[in-house]
Amino acid sequence: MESEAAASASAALDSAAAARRAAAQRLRTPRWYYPALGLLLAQHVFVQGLDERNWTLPSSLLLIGGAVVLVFVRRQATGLSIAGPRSAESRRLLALMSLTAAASIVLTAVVQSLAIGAVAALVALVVTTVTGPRYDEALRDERR
Amino acid sequence: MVAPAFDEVIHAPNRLRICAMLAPLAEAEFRTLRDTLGVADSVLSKHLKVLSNAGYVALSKPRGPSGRARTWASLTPEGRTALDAHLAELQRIASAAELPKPPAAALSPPRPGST
Repeated sequence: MESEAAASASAALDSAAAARRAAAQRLRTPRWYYPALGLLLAQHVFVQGLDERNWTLPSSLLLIGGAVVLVFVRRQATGLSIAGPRSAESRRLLALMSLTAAASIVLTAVVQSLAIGAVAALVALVVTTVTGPRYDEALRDERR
Repeated sequence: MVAPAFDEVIHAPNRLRICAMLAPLAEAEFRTLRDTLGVADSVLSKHLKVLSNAGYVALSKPRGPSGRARTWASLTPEGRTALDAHLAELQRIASAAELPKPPAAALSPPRPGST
């Protein structure tokens, strides 16, 4: 009798673990998401190197508005949303992307060079595109 | 650490799976839940209603770009606590009683010519 209850409890635990893994497995961001986010960031970094400062406001609006649209479309496409990173690995990858973006923007704004701006924009684009899928993988791992 | 507590509302197999799936997420859309769990719309609706009535799941219906309302479900803090307590209780039951081990003879390979 007791072993029947234990077997039933084990089966229920296995079923719950399988459902949790299935949810984690579905946390797959569409392929275009990180390249698109990287392009939004890159245009903002590049604009910081222009002499003409009038581009900063439209570029900021494009970055913020574009990011909001991207997050919304991703949510609709995957049918899931998550609260944020939980593990040290996912926090580290998010920090890497955020700090690279911030450093690229600040460096270009301080140096005021088109060449530096182009290189920094490229770095921001590549880091976001390459690190984004690794960040997703870390999010899936911590939720399995 | 939550105290183990058996929860009749969560224990039904499909409701346990729904709660376990929602636990690592902020929200999940109805169709995603249905497809992942492999259940019919009516079955999922029924179980979500029970969980919602118990205060374990919050349901929202924001309108998408097409104007159609989609149902999103999330685990409430009460639901999260109840799920953790229920899983802890299942863990306690599973570990309290050792499953009977098969007799040693059944584990040893058959001897040639023994049949």
